[in-house]
Amino acid sequence: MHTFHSIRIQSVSELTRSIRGLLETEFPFVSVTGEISNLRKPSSGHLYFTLKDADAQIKAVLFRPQQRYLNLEPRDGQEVVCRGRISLYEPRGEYQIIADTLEEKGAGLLQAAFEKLKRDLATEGLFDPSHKQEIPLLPARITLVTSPDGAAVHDFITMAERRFPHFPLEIYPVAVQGSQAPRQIIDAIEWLNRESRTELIVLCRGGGSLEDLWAFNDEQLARAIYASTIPVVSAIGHEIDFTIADFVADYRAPTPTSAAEAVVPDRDHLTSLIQTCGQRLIKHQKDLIINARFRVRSHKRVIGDPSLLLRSFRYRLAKTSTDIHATLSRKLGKHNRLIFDLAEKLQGRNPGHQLAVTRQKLEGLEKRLQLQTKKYFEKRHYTIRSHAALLDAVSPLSILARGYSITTILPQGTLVRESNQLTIGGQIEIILQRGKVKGTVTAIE
Amino acid sequence: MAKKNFEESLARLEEITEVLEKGELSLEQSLKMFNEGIKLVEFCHTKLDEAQGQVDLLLKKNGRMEPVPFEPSVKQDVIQEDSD
Repeated sequence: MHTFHSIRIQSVSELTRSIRGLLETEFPFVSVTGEISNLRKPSSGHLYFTLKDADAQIKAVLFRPQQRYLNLEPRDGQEVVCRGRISLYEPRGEYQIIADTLEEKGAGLLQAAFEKLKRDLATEGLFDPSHKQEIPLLPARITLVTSPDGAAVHDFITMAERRFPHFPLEIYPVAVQGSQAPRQIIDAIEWLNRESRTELIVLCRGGGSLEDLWAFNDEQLARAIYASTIPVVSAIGHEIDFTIADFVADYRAPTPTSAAEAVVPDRDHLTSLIQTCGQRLIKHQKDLIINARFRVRSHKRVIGDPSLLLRSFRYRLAKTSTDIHATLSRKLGKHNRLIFDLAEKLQGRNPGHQLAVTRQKLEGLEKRLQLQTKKYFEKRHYTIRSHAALLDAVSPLSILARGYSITTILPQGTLVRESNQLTIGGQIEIILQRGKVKGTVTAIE
Repeated sequence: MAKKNFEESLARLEEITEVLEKGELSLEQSLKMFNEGIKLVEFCHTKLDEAQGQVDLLLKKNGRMEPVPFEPSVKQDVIQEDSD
C-alpha cells in the first residue's frame, strides 16, 4: 500500500499522452486485414470505420487527403488490407489506426500475378499488333463464346439486331467465371477452329470484380486466342477493366454492346454504299457513251467523206512509187560506169607480170652461184693436196719410223731434250712408232 | 473474275467507281471496267441477302455440338448439361 501511495499522481492528460507515445513508438507501421464496418463520412470528409474479424475490432480513420490514392470505394462488409500507424486520440482516449492506404484483400497478389503474366506474354510477342487479324467486314457467321443467360449476350444480340436484322449468330455456351471457365472457353475456341465455319469469335462477358473476370487472365486461354486462325474479339467487362484476353485478342471492345457495334455489319449502310456505287457507275457510263457519240459526229464533220480522202491517198501513193523507181535506176546507171573504169585500171596493175620478171632474174642468179661454188671447191682441193705432201715430210711420225723415240715428262707431257729436265723417280712416257712405254727415272747421267 | 469475298469485292467496286469517274481510260477499257463493276454490285447485293439467319445455341447432344434456336427468355443451364 505504501508503495502505491508513493507513486506520483498524474493527470489524465499526462497518462494518456505517455500511452500515446508508447503506442506510436511501438507501432509506427502496421498492415492489418479485416472487414470494414460502421463506415462513416462526416462533413469533415475524413473516413471513419471499424476493422473487425471474428474476435476483435479496432477503430480506424482515413483522412481526406489520403483518399485520392484509393483504388476502391470502401463499403461496409468489405475485406480489406489496411496499412498505417497506431495512434491515440486523446480527447476520447481511443486508440486507432491512422490509415494510409486501403486495398481489397488479395488484390495485391492477383494484381502482381496479372502484371507478371502480362509482361511475360508481351515479351513473348502474344500482343504484337503484327499478329492481329483483320475483322471481316461481312462475316458469314459470328459465334459468341459466352454464358447464354447473362446480360452480356442479350446486350450483344440487341445491338446486332439493330445493325443487321437476322444476322447469323451462334452462341457457344461456356461458364465465364469460376475455375471451370478458362478450360471451357479454350475448348470452345479450339472446337470452333477445328469444326466450325464461323468467321468471327466474340468472347463475351459483362463487368465484374477483378476476381470475377479472372478467367480471362488465364495464360492457356491467352495462348488459345493467339493460336486461333478465326479472328477473336474480346468483349469483357466495362470500359475500365482490362484482361489478358483483351491484350491478345485481335480486337478489344470494352463492352458486349460496343463489340456488336464494331463487328456486326451495318446493313443499311452497306446496302446504300453498294447502290450508290452502282448508280455512279451507270451514270458515268451513260455520260461516256453520249460523249463518245458526240465526238464521233464532230470528227466526221472535220474529215468529210472518207472514200474521197482514200482516193487522194491512193493517187499520191502511186505517184510517189513511180518517182522513187526513176530516181533509183538513174543512180544505178552512174554507178555501173564508175565500176568498169576502176576494173580496167586495176588490171594494168596486176602483180602477176611483176612476178614473172622477178622469177627469171632469180633463175639466172641461181645458175651463176652454182658455177662459182664448184670452181671454188676445186681450187681448195688442189691446195690441200700439196700441203699434205709437205706435212708428211716433216712429220715426227716419219722420224719415229726410222727408230727414234720421243720422251715426255708426265703428267705435263713436256718434251725431254736434256737430262737435267728430269728428276730421279719422275714419271716419263716414251712414244715409239707403234705404242707407248711408261717408266720411272732411276738414274740421270 | 476470281471469286472474292464481300470485303474485297466492295473495295474493288469502290476503286472501279473512282477510276471510271477520273475519266482517264479509253472507251474500251472503261466499258470493260463498267461490266466488272456491275457484276460486283450484283455480287455484293447477293452476299448481303444471303447473310440471313437466326441466333443458334450450340448444345452438346450425344457428344456432338448441335445448333438449336436460341430463346433468350428461357434460362438454359447448359454448363450442367455439358458435364454430363
